[in-house]
Amino acid sequence: MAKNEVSEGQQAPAVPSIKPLTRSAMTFADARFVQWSVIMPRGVSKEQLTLSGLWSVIGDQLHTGDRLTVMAEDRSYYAECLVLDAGRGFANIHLLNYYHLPALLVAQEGLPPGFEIFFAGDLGNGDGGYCAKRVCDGVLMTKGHNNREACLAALLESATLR
Amino acid sequence: MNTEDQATVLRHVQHVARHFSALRCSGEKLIELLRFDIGHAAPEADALSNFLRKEDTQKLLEAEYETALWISCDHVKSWRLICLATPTELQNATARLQLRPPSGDSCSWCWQAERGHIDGILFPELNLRGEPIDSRLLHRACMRPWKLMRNLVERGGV
Repeated sequence: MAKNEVSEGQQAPAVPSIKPLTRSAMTFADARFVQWSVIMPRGVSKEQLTLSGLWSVIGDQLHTGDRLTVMAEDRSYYAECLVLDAGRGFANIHLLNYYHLPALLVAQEGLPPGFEIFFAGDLGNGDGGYCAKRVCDGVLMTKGHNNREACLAALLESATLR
Repeated sequence: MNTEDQATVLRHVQHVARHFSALRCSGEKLIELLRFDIGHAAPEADALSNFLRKEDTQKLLEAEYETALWISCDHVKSWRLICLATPTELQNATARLQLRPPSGDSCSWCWQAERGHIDGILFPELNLRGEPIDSRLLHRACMRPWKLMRNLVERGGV
C-alpha cells in the first residue's frame, strides 16, 4: 500500500467550487451598454465630473454600465467615466481615468519663462531661421531651425534648461 | 541639385513665403522671385522648377518648413505659395480668427479666392461636435495653422 503522504491532522485544501456563467450572462457589449461621447464645457473641474447635479438633465438617458468618454471643450483634459446608477434628475458616476492634456508649448505663453522664439529670416550659414533667445541678456540659445517646434525642442534640450 | 542646394532652396522658399504670406502667381514668376532671393548661387530655372514640382518637396515644405506650395486647378494653373507660420500670441490669434475674407469662396487663412470651384479644394472647419463653424472654408494645408490658432484661443493661450 502506498504510504499516505498526508500526515494526520492535516487535510488537503479543498478546491472551491464555483458556478460557471450561463450563456445569457455574456453578450456583445454594444447590445447591453452604450458608449457615450461627452463634450464638457469650460470650467468643469475633475472633482465636478462625478457630481450628480452635472448630469441631472441627461441622467434619464444613462444606464448602469454605460461608459462616458469626456473631452473638455478647451482640450485641457480627457476622462473616462462609468455610470453606476442613473435616472431622472440624478446620476452616480465613477471616474475611471483622467488625463490632463499637455499645454500648447508653441504658444508664446507656453514657452519657458524668460525666453523668446523669433524668425530671423535667411541669413545663410545656418544663422537664420527660427532662433531662441534669453530675454534678460539677449543671448541666442539656439538658431537655424526650420520651424517653431524644432526650435522649441532644441531650447528645451539646451544645457541651461535640462 | 545636391542636398545642400536643396536645403538652401527650401529655406529660401520659406523666406519668400513668409515675405508674401499668401502668393498666387505663375510658375515663371515664382521661380524668378526665388532666384532673386537666393542670389548668386541660384540654380537654373529648369532645375528649380523640377525640384519644386516634386511631391516630396511639397510635402517636406509643408511638414518642416511651415510653407504650403501647390499648383492650383484654376484656369491659369497658378502656383500658390502660402506661409503656414501661426501667430502665437493670444491677442493676435484672436484677432486673426475674427477676420473674414471678402468672399464666401475664399480660404479663411490665406484669403485666396477659389471663385466658385470649392468642391475638393476648400473644406469647412468643423468643431469638436463635427458641426461647421461660422461657414469657414479652408484649404487642406491651411487647416493646420488655423486649427492651431483655434486651439490656442480655446485654451486661453496655455
